[in-house]
Amino acid sequence: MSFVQIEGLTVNYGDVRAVRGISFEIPQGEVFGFIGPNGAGKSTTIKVLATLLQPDAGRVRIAGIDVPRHPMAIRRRIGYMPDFFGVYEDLTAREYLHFFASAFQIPRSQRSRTIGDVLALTDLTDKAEAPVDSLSRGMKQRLGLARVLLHDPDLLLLDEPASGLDPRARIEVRELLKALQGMGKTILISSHILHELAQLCTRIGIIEAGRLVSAGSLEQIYASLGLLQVVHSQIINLTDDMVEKIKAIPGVASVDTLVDRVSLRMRAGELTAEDLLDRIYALGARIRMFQPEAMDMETAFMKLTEGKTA
Amino acid sequence: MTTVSPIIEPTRWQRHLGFPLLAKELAELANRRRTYVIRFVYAAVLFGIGLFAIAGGSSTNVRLGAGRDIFFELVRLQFWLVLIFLPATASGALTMEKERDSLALLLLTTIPPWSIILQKYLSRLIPMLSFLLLGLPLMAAAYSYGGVATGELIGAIGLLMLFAVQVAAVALACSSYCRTTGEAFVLTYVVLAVLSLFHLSPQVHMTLLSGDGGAGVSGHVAVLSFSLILTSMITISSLVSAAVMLAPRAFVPPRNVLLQLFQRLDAFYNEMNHVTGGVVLIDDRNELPDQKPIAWRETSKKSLGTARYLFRVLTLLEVPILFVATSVNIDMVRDDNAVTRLLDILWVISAAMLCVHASGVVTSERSRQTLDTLLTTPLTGAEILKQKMSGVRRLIVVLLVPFSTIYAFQLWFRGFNWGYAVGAFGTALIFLPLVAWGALWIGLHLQSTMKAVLTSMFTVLVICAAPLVAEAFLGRWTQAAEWVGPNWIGSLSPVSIIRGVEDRGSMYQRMNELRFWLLIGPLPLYGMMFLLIRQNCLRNADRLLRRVPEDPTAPIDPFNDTSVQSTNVGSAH
Repeated sequence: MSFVQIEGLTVNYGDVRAVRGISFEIPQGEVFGFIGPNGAGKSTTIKVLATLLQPDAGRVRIAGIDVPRHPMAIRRRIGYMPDFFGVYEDLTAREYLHFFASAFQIPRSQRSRTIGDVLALTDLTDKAEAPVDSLSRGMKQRLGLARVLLHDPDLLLLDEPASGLDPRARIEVRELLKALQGMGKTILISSHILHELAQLCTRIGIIEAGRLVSAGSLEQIYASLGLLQVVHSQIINLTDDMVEKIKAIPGVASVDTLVDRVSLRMRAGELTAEDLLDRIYALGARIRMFQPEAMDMETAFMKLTEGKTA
Repeated sequence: MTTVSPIIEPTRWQRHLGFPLLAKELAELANRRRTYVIRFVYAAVLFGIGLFAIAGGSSTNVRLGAGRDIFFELVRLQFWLVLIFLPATASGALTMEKERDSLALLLLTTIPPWSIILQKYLSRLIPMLSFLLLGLPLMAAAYSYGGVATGELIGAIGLLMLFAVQVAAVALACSSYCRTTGEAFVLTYVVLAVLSLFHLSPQVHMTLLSGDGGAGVSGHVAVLSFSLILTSMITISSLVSAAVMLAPRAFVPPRNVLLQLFQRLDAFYNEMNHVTGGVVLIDDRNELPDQKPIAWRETSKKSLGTARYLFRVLTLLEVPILFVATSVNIDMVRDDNAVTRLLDILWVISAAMLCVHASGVVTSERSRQTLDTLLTTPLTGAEILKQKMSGVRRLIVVLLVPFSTIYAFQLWFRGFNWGYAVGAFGTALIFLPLVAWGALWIGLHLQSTMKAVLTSMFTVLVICAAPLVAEAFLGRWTQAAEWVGPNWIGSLSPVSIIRGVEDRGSMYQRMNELRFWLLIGPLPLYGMMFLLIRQNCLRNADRLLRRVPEDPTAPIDPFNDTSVQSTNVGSAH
């Protein structure tokens, strides 16, 4: 049974239908990337899971528990980080975490150790006594992640955790999320930074105008759209004959010879990068570089969406 | 081939006097629902009271020649309406841009700072002047009853306009200086209060207008000339300061002004401690939260919740009371009403403090976007609210001290009586929590702190004034119909109850026992109102805080909840 189950979820804001009967599932331990243009219904869906919004119709379950019927039981099992969140500027980072540790009813004897652990995990130990107000935006974001980890939740709901961060802070957050993934947390993450989601997520859901237009693993989405994956390679002994042989490999769509490299395009689902490397090597090629490009999620996103809002 | 139309550069005069910002502001104001609500309230108050003064009760023959009294009542009313309505609209003119982070964009345009100030100024002044026009028919009606000189009519209109011009300029200067609308609003009244000591008060204007200003001031030309000079000085200096401060104060970070003030005092006292030998009266222990994190923050990190800071508030309130009480006791002040007057001031200050503090406990979390994270913790909604109110509860306890001092003094000075003791302590114990929980209830329904504070204060004002106004209205009509007026309506007002209790204190032997108990009869009703509001807040806490409430029909163990969720679970938001 999937850890998160959403079936026909509908949410209205007055006359506006923000979410229109979307359904998807997230198995335990997976990282689900939620993608969509602004106003698509991502944050609304996450707010329903976070027990902040009552759905108008549909069924929402986390760990088999009905979310609208048992919000308190759900709150103990989730960690929610909103897209925009403020912090209490009158507290230090440690006081801030103690505040939420107390709110999550963590026994007092365990609090100091837990807070020390999450501060270390988010690399904020040095900033423990700094006023929250004085932290940079990236640090505040990491402090937010430290907060959601305090009560060791099974499910993390992260709404745009990397928005507005500089490149270094984005990489730090991404590495942190990878660490959490390694710890076996189920994560639902929404983001606009598509290539970062591609590196992190095991499954993707693309939402537009309140409807889920596609969901599944990246490979499944690329295959369904007939997208091509690009591999850049430098072959020392490349000849025209070898180029023709590479073109003949099943799954290879085209081979472009450039000044310093060849650009190979292969059909997702038919051939993997590892197999292509083996096949080219078998042709006697002396390979200096072989670099598969991250799957082109921007193309998938643009192909699946039309820029509509709910 | 497409042709590119040449860009027509605006002339220097067009750039400076085109007033695009003014056009935008007026269009925005016209599109806002609030504009029409304010206009309606203004007109309702003005015409309600104006028509009552003109047409209420006595016959037309009796009122002939009484136009002067009616006229001055109307003018006085409009001065107060300007003083109430104009700061509320003008103090947010620039701070709202700062709060929306749009002032930087405005400064990047070619509109110079002085023009921004002028256009913002006119955008707030023009609607107010249109409000003043509403009063003209009433003033004309009063004029028709006789007793008003034409010069007085013209002088009144001129002075009202000059007064609005000054108040708007002061409010705009405060808006340019402050970071938030709330701060600008409070600062505007502080500046106006200071200016009223010299010139800028409705009372001074009325005195000038009615020709009672002294031997040196006679004739309406002289009155207007005098007022015009002072108005010009205040207005120009306010507008110039607003323009000068606009850019330097555009990006100041938001700070809790009261907390800053207290922290500066802390630094001062710490410095003094070297001299006094390290005396610490109230030591705030910096402990970490235990079981009640929200209560911990409210009582150890907030300016109006921390014991040390509350002690300062208490000192500030208690010292004048003790001084006056001692003066009365040693016969320096030959009137025990001085203490009663202090009690009135204490009520106003207490109600204002509670409105500001209680209505902001939830709205401030909303505006700082910290509420959602709090709502996903396993704390129940009722628990969140109770803990949020712990700082307010402390404030009430602190406020009860000066109230108790006054009541104890009155009981000692005038002679002990049970009626006064029960009534006096009863009013404090019921009205203070009622104001606090009422303000919280209003704050739970509104998004912005400023709106919540103003609505709370306005509600308190209406509850206090409405029964008295209704009694006056009905009293006059029934008097005309030779029917005994319904005096009991006025006694529903908290003001009547508080006054009644004080009268009991001063006229113990004279006041009829039954009349006294009838007078404080509505007090239990207010007690019930407090309990109902508190219960409503706590029972519907989840819904009011805007999160999914626990389903009371759901089984206790969520893992054994086998019921199938319906496809339409209802919409509670």
